[in-house]
Amino acid sequence: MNDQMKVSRDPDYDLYFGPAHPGSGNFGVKLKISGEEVVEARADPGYLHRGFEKLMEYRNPMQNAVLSDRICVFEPLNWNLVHAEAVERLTGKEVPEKARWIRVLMAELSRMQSHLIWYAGTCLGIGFDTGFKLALVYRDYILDLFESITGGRVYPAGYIAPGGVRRDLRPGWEEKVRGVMKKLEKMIKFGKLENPVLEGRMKGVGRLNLKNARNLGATGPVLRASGSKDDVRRDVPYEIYPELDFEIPSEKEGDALTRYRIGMKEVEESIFITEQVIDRMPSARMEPVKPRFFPPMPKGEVFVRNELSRGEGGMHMIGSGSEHPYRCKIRGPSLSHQVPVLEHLLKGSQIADVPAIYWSLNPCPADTDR
Amino acid sequence: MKMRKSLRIVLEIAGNLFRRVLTVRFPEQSLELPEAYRGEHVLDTEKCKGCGLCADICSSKAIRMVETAEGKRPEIDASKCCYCGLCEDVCPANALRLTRHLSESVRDPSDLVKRPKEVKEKSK
Repeated sequence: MNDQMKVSRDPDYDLYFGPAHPGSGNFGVKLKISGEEVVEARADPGYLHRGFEKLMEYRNPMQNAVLSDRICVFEPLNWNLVHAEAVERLTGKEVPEKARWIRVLMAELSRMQSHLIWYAGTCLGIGFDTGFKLALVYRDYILDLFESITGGRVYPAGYIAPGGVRRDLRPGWEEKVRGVMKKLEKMIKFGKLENPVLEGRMKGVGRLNLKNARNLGATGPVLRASGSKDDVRRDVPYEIYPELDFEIPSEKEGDALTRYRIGMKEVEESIFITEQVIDRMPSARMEPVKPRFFPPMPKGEVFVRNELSRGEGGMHMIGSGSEHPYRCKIRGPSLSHQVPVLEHLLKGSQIADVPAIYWSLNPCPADTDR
Repeated sequence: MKMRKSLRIVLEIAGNLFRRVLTVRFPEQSLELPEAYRGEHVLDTEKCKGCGLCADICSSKAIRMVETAEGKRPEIDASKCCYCGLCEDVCPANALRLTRHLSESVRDPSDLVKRPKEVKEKSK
């Protein structure tokens, strides 16, 4: 509906869908409204800019691993992995076999809890309080797992560091992870119910067709809800993904409800991947990475991309012969979603649909602004 | 159908009366923190050699080496610390450890700077 509507009315007033944390995260959108209809939308990023790319130029790789947690607060372990892979590819460091399996386990758990935040944010935005609370309850079980493995619930402090992981898994981890997976199945069952609240607010809203999605730079679930099957884990595999068996969910409608459904299916696939990893994890003890010796980073540049829960995340790292990287450019998946895609989808929509469209794009202001 | 649904809800509410409460009465009770938890620092001033590697690696610049009777020892500013544990991992003498204690709240910000002697006494 949004693609065909031609908006020709003059705006009556401005409305700021403002940068208040429970409403929209730290991200503002300036709307020009005529009656109930949005005539024009301008995204207003920058509230969460912390200067990561500059901070990383003054720190060595282990310190940068700790810093890389905070690039996107919703999925710290996935960003740790992107940074670690960039450093390893630049310096040629080897990673033990068990560490690769542990990394994929943590990345998939992080993907699951990030999708649960997505679900919670969507429900909060449209006023469905039960879904919001339930999703955060089930996310808490995953955070308890993180605390027992890495030491921190939200920030694992560079657990996935260049060269492996900072600690080995303690005995008894398998039962804990399997227990949490079993609990999550209840959440999936709830999420797959035909919910009249979600359907009423999200069906047919914010339709994005495949051509516009590709032109505007959408990646990840937003692109896969519009008909594509692109996924970096399949197209340019990394870590041990080539050895795992998983499906890439994809649908064609491209509206907000479809994006939400893709999110739930991805959580299911992640549970399936986690179970394979638990069954096949090598049991030998592994030497954890310690911050003891930093050789200078060789001259050269690498670009690494991973499939994060929001889309394709990348890191371009340039080494120049010193201990610190010369340049570390971070490509966050949310920048394309929150600026061009959002402005395109909001044009011609109703005010009441603005939160549904905004949250259905799975925004992360932290990796937009860095 | 409606009667069965209402009955199920009533039974679930009644069942909740016998389920374990998930909250604890803090501060008298506390949740069990896992072993891997990264909490307050503890320093063994005898094992410490004063090499300063912890101060070098701290990316928040929270550690400063100060002169004591036994030699140079680290002084840790808990307000800057992000509890990442790099100082614990880098210590060649295994003298600095992160424990499961939570930092206490203080009224005066300067009380958050932990001098080496204080950090040692807490470990006893």
